[in-house]
Amino acid sequence: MWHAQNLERLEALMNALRIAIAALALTAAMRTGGTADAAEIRVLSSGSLKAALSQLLPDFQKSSGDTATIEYGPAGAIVGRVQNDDAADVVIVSRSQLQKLESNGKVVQGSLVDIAGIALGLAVHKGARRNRISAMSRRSNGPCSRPGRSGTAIRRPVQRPAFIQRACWNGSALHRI
Amino acid sequence: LKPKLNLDRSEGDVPENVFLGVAKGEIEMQIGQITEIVISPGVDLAGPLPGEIQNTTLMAAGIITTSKAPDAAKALVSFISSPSAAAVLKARGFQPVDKN
Repeated sequence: MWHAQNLERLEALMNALRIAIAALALTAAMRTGGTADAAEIRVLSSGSLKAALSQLLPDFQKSSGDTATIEYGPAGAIVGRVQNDDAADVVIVSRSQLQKLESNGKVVQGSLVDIAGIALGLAVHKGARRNRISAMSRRSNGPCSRPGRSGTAIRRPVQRPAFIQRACWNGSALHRI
Repeated sequence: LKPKLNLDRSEGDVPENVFLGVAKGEIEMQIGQITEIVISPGVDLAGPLPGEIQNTTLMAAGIITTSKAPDAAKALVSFISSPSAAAVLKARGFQPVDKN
């Protein structure tokens, strides 16, 4: 009697052990499979995406098992690198820049996916008195013909405080003040 | 006023340096992308440009033709354009993409 009970217990224990071993083997197989398929991806991105990609890329690595490295730069420079066949897998710039790369055969046809929109703002020194941005729109001179780009800075006038009187707008930079 | 202004067109080598002049106090104010302003040390975002002169740039991702890991690259692009990524983007000042 004592012997039979012990045998039953032993059998139950063995069963539990078998299940545990099977589960472990499955996990190991999945890990091995994951490692074998894990890819290394190189991303070239406009610096304007860094605020989000610095979190999203590690999240992607965790969920996919793939390794993703990223290099940021001014969008124009990133486009130039792709144009010059810099070895990479994903490029993130403006949709219009991507469309040019696509038509030049540098980006896979039909692979473009919209990520997000980025609006323009005014940066001032930390803690500085906020300038009246609304004054800009009231005195805005409308679109202008000269090309520009974001990141344009207005240096302090010699005597008068910075004060925007007239401005024309070309889509990426404020000109002629 | 124009003669008294000096237009500086230099760009930062890394995103955080785009607004270095403002951070150092050499530049009074600088127009740039909101998502770069918020990660730059030493500067504050005074606010977005008003609607009449606002211009939103649509950012997109593409797979590079010479990629040796196009499937993984595609998975990454899907990941950063997913609804959960959209929540992260929104929290960091990006504008949502209109998906039709």
